[in-house]
Amino acid sequence: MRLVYVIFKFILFPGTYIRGFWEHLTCKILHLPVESEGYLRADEACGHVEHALATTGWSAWLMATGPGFMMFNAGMSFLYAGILNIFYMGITPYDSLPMFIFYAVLIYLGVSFMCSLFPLTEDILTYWDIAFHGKKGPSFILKVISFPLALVTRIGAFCEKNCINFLLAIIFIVLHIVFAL
Amino acid sequence: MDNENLNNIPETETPEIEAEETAVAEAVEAAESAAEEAEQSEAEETVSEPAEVEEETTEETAEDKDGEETDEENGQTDSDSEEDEAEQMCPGCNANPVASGHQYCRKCERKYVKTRIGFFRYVAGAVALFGSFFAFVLVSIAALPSLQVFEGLIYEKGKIAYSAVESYRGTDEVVSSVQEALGANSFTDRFLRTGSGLDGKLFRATVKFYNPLMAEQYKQYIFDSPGAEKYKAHSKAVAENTRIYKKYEDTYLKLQNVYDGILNSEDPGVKDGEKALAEIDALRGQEGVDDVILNLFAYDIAGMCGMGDEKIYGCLDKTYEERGKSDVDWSFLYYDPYIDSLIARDRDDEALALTEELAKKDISNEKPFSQQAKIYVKKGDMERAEEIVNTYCANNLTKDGTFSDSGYQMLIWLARIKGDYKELAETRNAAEQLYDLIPEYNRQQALAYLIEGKYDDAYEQAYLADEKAYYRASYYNDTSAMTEEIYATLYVSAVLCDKYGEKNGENAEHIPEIIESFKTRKFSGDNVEQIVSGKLDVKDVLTKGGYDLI
Repeated sequence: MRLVYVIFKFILFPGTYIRGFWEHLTCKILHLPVESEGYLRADEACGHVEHALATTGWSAWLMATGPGFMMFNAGMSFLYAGILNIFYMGITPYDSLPMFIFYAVLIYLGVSFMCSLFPLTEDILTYWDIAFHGKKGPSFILKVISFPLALVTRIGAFCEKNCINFLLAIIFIVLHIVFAL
Repeated sequence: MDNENLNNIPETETPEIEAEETAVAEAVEAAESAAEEAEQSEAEETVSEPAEVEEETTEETAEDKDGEETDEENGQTDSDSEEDEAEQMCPGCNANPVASGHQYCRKCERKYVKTRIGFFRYVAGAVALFGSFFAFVLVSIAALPSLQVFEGLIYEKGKIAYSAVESYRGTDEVVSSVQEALGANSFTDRFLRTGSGLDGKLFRATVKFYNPLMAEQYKQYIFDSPGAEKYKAHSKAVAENTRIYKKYEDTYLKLQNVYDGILNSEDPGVKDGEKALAEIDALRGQEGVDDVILNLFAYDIAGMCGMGDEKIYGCLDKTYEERGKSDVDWSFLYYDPYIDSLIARDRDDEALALTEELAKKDISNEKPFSQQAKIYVKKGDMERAEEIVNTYCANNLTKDGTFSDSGYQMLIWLARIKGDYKELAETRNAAEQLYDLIPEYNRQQALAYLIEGKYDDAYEQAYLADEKAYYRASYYNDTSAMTEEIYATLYVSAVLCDKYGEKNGENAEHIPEIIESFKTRKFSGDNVEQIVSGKLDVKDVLTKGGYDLI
């Protein structure tokens, strides 16, 4: 599984690299020690930075969801800019080869960003532990508000770790081809 | 980094261990604070005993994995855990003990906090950020046209042929309006446009829902324009249609010949019609055409040859009864005339049931709604008719909140039926500001003038309606605009203007040739013939029964 994970992460290297950058930047903002800063590496932390776990609720939340938020916005924009123009507006290589390639690249970028959406399991478990098990967790209202996204992030991190997100990305594209082409 | 032991913490155990660490750290914090400085200074000594440290760390990790339960089972005290925790080594240098409440020793932590993000990484992040913003702009400008295509796809999946084709056709219009709103510039020219893939969708919907004869004509319209050779290369639908067409070319040619024979005939009458129907019947059972299509052709021929209502209705009944014989849903071709025929034969309840079924299927198709309204008008229930028209209009507002072209069409019709000609004129003016090529607006106005006895105005409006229909057919390939109703209105208006009008209108000079061209034409029903011959008063025809000439 580790090999498959690393292969997919390298195939979708733009998202992997930018995810690493956002994590690194978040660590800098939060003054979290970053032990190993290579973004593209041949292990399970590919696309992430090895850093100390956050100790407060806010920093744990930001570490777990901040980079994912940036990746989601960029990924959705890239993905749908490509999908709308190729699958719906019907741009084909016969209309304009450069434009078709441009939109196809946007779809690739979108998939690569969306496949690097979630943090390492440790990051979301840290927030989970602080918020829902720890004594110094956030207020009840913040717990309730953050719970759905925390749950999605936890499930997403599990999926990403086990390469399920790659499978979902492929299914997503195939469904669009079947539906819209 | 080993994911099983990220930051020296087993991945699956992180919450528990973290909690344990926090609790332990709190408990020992006070005691540790005094000893911490001393521990830091003794760090070098600890390094000199690596074997011992390694052994202790291994034991600690094993204990960590077992968790609290293991501690309880072994009967260990809290002070044991505190001791282990205090002696944990920094995972960064593996030389100094971890600082209390931290995950690294102070030296490593200082080093790691100062880790720099390289210039290239900032550049990559900025490029990604600006790129995503640009992509967002692309999504925003393509969203509305794509939504239109999405609608078409949904209709196509639901086999609502007419709406699917109309949605695809309307996409270019949406693109134009977005371009207009943004102002034409090189950016919108390059990034906001539809491609031949959309033509492919349009054609596919046509092939799926029309018969191959129509598709072949449509193919010529879409794909045979100069420079459009490229479309043929990629469109599977074109290839499929061409294959079917070639395979059954003989059958189609025979079918086409029957049509051509009638259209080219100088005097298409009942005799020619019977012969044509016999030729159509001879094609039954041949591959490439199914009985439903042949029945529809027979209905068309019966209408064109003026073979009488009984024959025409018979063809429609047969089409409806044998609808199950085809794999393709041709209902959009026969439902409208069939329902109209039911209304004409006073089988209102059957017609009403069918229109209700169709209206539920597709709330954007105005035909079942207008037919329902006509039935209620016929039954004298004007309130219900008005309610149906208003419901349709409210459900089909444009994106600007105005009525759709067909909504206006129904409102204008309703105003005429109610005899409110002032409202009719106002609504028509408002409609024409938005939609300038809808012949029905002018036809309804012409009918209103006929009721009022303003024959010159009626003729001018009927002439305008005919002109718009011809324009739509010529420039938009919309032959459906050239209806029998438009011809009937033009013919009746021309005759009455010729008889009673002052003939001083802009197009009065064409009256003699119009009358001459329609003299031999057979219209459905007897109304047109009887009005022209003076046996029926046009006002009576237009204010009773079907409220129309046909």
